[in-house]
Amino acid sequence: MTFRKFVILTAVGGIAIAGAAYAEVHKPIIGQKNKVFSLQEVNMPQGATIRVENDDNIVHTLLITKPDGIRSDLGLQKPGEQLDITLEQLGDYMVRCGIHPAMKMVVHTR
Amino acid sequence: MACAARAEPTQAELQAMKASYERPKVVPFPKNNPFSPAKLALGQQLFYDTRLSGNGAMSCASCHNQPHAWGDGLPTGVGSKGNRLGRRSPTILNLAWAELLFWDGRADTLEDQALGPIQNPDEMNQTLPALVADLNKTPAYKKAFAAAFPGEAIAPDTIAKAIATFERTVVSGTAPFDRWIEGDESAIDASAKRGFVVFNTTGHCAACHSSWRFTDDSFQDIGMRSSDKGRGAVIEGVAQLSFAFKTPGLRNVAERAPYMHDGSIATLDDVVAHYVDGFVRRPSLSPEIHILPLTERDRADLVAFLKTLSSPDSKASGPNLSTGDKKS
Ligand code: HEC
Ligand code: HEC
Ligand SMILES: [Cu+2]
Repeated sequence: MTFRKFVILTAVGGIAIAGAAYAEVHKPIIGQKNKVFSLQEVNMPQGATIRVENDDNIVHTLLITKPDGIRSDLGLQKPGEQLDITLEQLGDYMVRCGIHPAMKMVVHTR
Repeated sequence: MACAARAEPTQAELQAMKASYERPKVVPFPKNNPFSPAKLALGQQLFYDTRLSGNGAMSCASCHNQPHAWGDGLPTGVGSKGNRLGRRSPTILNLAWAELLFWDGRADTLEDQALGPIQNPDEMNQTLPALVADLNKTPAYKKAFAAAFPGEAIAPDTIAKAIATFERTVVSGTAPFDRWIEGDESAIDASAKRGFVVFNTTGHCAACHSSWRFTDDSFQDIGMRSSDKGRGAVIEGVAQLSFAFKTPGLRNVAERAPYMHDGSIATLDDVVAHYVDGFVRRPSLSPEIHILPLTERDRADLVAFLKTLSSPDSKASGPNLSTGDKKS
């Protein structure tokens, strides 16, 4: 088994900021180089947005399973393209690539 | 035979290549379905039980059978009514580490997958209420479920969890290749050792068949002549996924011909010939597939190498519970 390094992005650092306002100011950008998300576990306030940027040299896709179990497919992402994910729900978002499903991350909202 | 143009790897390069193929020491189990010996025993019993089929004639093991390296040795599966299925029965080896299941990745977990074939009219053609009623009538099962899931009912959810637990213990055993990786130079012959280098360099195989399981779990169009859209029918609008199928692991691969999602390639020699220049060119073809400059000797070496991935357990006749550490 490979043990990935889990990097925790502490979104609010103890200070409560309304989700939408927070998202405007700091939209975290997650890379996809070498078929790995640059962060595999992310904590975000509910309502915030994360940006996924394909800084790899191959295409990826984004499949999202929302906390309520509903899936959405954001489709193809070519090198250089960015996609935003707005986190309306409370709980865990599972994000993975539909071509390279070993490439995955979880976003916790609270 | 002319010498291949490729340079031999240095000792350090070879060591680096070998390092990524070391076997894991433990089998991973998910937090929401942890391992227990009672669950394993129940799951194994269910896997081999023909009660799971509508006409009582078929179990999971009919199509995922250990002597065929947990496949069925047929080009495509055959359902309980003698009907041909559209795809080949894949091995269930090493799925504890898998990402998505089925040739097209339509199931997320083994728990999600397990109830599919039971209810599929073309496969086992059983209903879940009938199965639950049947299990409830059987004292041995009432006891086994009570031991595996104390306080829970016999239900689709617990059936799926037990089967998934058994499947996670189906791990390929130590193969000659593993003994070579561990340092036994006599475990595989010179041809297989050269084949390993071809696999990782000029053959470009490790671009997809990476890690000790020999898969990166990705979906790729390798140019098979089949009209099945594979993952392209699950995720629409992504051109690269047309005709894309899950990259199979290659453990015990020599024991489970014929090959590919449609069983259309009979031998490993023919598989290698496909990759050299036998693939269909089309827009969805994986960028990792291109004509390979392999000599006759390179091809023979590749096949010799693939044969060293077979562990003795793949031919045993009973369930394989001896390998792997069952703790998570
Ligand atoms: C009639 C033959 C047949 C029977 C019976 C059968 N399967 Fe399968 N199985 C298949 C075929 C064919 C596929 C591939 C289908 C596809 O990918 O669309 C498959 C796929 C799978 C996979 C996915 C493997 C992978 O690598 O993605 C698993 C796991 C599995 N079966 C487990 C089971 C279990 C558990 C049972 C019993 C409840 C069962 N099967 C019964 C034929 C069968
Ligand atoms: C672009 C990714 C990719 C590359 C590169 C690649 N493979 Fe594959 N391989 C696959 C996929 C995907 C399949 C299944 C295709 C299908 O069923 O349609 C497969 C199937 C196989 C199978 C059949 C396994 C089975 O259970 O049916 C063998 C054997 C195999 N590959 C060996 C090789 C060898 C040897 C090389 C190098 C010469 C290689 N592969 C290169 C992705 C790849
Ligand atoms: Cu990807």
